[in-house]
Amino acid sequence: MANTGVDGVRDGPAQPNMKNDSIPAMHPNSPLSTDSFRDITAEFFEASAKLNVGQLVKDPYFTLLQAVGALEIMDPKMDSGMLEAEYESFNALKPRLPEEVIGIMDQLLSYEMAWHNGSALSQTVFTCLYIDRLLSSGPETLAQATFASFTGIEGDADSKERQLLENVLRPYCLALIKCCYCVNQQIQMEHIYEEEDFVTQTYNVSLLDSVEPNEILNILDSALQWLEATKNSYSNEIFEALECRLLHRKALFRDLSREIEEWVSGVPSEWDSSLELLAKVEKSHPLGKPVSEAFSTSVQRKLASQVPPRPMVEISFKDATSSLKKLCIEGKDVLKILKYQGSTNLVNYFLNFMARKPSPSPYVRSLLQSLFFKEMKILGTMPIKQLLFDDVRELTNPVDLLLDPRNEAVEAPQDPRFNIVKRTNWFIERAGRSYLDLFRNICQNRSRLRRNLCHAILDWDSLQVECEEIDSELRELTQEEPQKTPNGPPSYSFPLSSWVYLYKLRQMEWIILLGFELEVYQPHEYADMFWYLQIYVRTKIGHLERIRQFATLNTKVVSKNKKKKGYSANAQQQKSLSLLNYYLLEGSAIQELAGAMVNVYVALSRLTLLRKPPQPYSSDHLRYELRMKPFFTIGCPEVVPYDIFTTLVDNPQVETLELLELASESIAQARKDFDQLGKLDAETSRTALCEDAFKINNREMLRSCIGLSVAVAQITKALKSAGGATQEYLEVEIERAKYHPSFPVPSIKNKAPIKTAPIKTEPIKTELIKTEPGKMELGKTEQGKTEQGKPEPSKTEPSKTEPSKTEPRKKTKKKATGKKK
Amino acid sequence: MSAHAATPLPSEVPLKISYARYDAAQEPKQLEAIRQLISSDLSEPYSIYVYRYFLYQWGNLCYMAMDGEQIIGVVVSKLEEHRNGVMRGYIAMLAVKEQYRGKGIATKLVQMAIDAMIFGDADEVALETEITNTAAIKLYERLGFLRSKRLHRYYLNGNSAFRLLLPLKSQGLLHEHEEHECGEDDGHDHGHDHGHGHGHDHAGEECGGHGGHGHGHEH
Repeated sequence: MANTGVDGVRDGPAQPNMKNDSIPAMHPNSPLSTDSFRDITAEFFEASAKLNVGQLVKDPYFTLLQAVGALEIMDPKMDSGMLEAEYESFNALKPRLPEEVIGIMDQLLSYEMAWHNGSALSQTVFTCLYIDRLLSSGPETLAQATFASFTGIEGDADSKERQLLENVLRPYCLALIKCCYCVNQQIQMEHIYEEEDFVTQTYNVSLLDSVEPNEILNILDSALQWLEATKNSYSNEIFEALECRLLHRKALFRDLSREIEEWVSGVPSEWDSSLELLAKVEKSHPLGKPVSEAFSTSVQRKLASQVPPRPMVEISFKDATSSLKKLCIEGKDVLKILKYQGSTNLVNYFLNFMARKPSPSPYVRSLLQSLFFKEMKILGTMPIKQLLFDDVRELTNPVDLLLDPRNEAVEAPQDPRFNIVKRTNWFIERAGRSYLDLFRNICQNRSRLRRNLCHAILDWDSLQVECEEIDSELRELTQEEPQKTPNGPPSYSFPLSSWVYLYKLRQMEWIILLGFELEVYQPHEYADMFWYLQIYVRTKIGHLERIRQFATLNTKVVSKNKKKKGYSANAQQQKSLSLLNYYLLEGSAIQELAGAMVNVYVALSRLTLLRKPPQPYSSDHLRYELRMKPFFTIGCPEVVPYDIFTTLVDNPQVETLELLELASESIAQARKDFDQLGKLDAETSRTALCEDAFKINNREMLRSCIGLSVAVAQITKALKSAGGATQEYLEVEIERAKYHPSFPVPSIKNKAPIKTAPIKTEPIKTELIKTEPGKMELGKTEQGKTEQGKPEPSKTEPSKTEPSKTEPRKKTKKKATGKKK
Repeated sequence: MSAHAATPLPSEVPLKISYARYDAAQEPKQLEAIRQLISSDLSEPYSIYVYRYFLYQWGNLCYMAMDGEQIIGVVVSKLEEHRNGVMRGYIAMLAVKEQYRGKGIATKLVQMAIDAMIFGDADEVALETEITNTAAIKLYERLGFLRSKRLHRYYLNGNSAFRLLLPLKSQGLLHEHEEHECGEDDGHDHGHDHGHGHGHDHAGEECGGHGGHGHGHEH
């Protein structure tokens, strides 16, 4: 087997001991002498001659990864050693025109951003032969990093162009390399998926690791001085183009090389000036002249000999600059979190920031994690406990005694407060970990987020059980009075486990929302999954109401007992109630919209306008198990058994027209709720750090409501017309672009003009449209859409559609739940 | 790219395609043809060991479509114990020669592989495919596969993948408390493995479709 150095494989339990069994990659500096090798060619051929065709000799641990990692020597598509070593003959001292220097700088910037976006250095920055020349000698100081080659092809050292290389291009390249170093360091510090989001591999090439940031700034300053002194040698345009590139690199480097501690201490960022300078760089880009000979994949011959040669990852200069702009904007944005405005604001910032499209860059996602939590401090200043307690307090408003910092001073082991602290300390330790993971998970790419959440909910589920036990002990210690319920056992507040349960439910909800966003769910599954979304949100609402009941109560108790504490407790209570009310409103909005989605997608499926693929293998029951697998082990809420589930979703005893009517009502309510949400100030919605994103999200939700109500009106109209809502007349497509990513909307197109003689004469329900005179675009859209319907001659469909109302449905068991409460 | 789905046949002559299981005794004749068929869809070729890995261990799960003597389509699979004793079939490669696409040949090949896996007592069948490869996704979804998750930047070309799963037996999950077995079977491989030179580990779990175009297909 040739070259099977599979190091760094991702080892899952499926392949035990893989790392140990793979042939180790040889360390480049390993002291192996040639004496330790023996030529076995003859023996090998002799042995292989004894094999029959179709016979294979392999050791039992020969894994697929090793097979995939194997290379065939001398196959030019696999053996990077066959690349011609272009870097050896490259003359980095060859005089270049200033235009060419600009071209090289801009090309480098493009590769740098391609690397930021997830490609390997060997396919991007390292393909630049100037960079190769600077780094190939393994320089430990800046002075050692030169363009001079070993072979010593020297040009005219005094020529203007040659000086330009030395005094401008070289400093620029060195600063760029050090920028890469900083980015790599930052990314390795936090949780970002290697290879998936970013490639940190440097192929044992030091990115000027031992050079101090100041040296880079100095060399850039010298470059700027030199440029200024030689200003008369270029046109003004060229001068400015070169100058803004150096200045831009300097500003960028200053921010990329900042330590987290500096950000925390409030050092002003230069992201804004980076942006301004980048605009100048962009403007002068056309002056540059590309130098294609300065870039070559041949460096892979020495860098990454264990992988096949891979092409350079070309991204356009325009894409590169827009990536970089995005990075600067995001880099500045994440600094906002340092101004702590409460735990809920922080969670919301993470959620909204990561929902951005396109996704924030890996570097910034890593930076955000470091700013949030580093060396056991939140935002550089707070203990985890503070954030955690803030969050529990804001949500559940527990009795003061529970989280009172003065409890910690109590040393008598028999004192209840001593025992309270014992338990809350356990909580900080246990729940703190899960809570930090939650923030970290949100910083991952969306696909990972969903997968990680599927694991996280198990953790939160057991955390909930553990906390219920602790809550029971705590209520003895705080002497909590049970609250009497009209017809049930007395109940207690369970503040810690209530907090846990809410986060668990939210994460379950996110898993489903992400399923839609990532297109893991297919349109024929939409009704099912919106049904679950609705159930989880409804469960959440019930839980929030319970929390609110106790949050209201706790203050009364406290203010009765301690007259002086009355005011502050009241403010705390206000805060909790405002948060709970906010969550309830948001929950109601989503529940209504999800409910409407269920009804509409069920209607479309009844009308066979949206059909399942044939699926000859497996069964719907098995697919249901697979789809719900992440949730099966969750204690509460439980996954519904399949046969009950189908009846609940399909709602057979409700007629299609009625389903649509119910959907209309739900949409109207959802719109009201979203409208109200949109009017809330940032303080109430806890979006002080991300108000814009919150508003955008809300607008997308509203658009989904509107789009859905248009669809409802169209299906209803067709249903009531002579032809009916059949495939002959209607065509359904799922639209995502205009709407909220988690609430895709069916777009209904008329294939043929709907016959005007309606069966029933009553007008189509349009009350929904009329209720909101402020937002009349709905009415317009609806009209526009129906009239736009292409009156194509009906394509000869095998029209085996049945009239909608006679749907043969499965047995009816339970009352419809698609209905409103 | 392989997704140019329905390229019509130049001639109207009805096709006579026969299907055959891979036969190790025919290796000298067949292996190279299979390899060529598949690598024409890949940006980066698989080493010979990848083919040997599959064909020698699971030759019975490899099926070929032939036009006369010529191999014009192939499916390469495996079947082995996954986690928690689940027998997982895995479709590693599927390719049909471009001019033969759109004729249901790939579907037929996949069905033969699945049937063989069912015969081999498979609990489920898995594969990955590029999210842009709608033809392949449709093919599998029409057979009953479900998208179980999305894999970010799974392929070397930076494209993401869907993992598709076909459940064949109930895995008795209802209210069983199993640690970390929630259908997301690779969430623990937090990828902080620095310093590898490979890039193949994207195919980490199953290695099916590195090179960007693991499943090249028609519909």
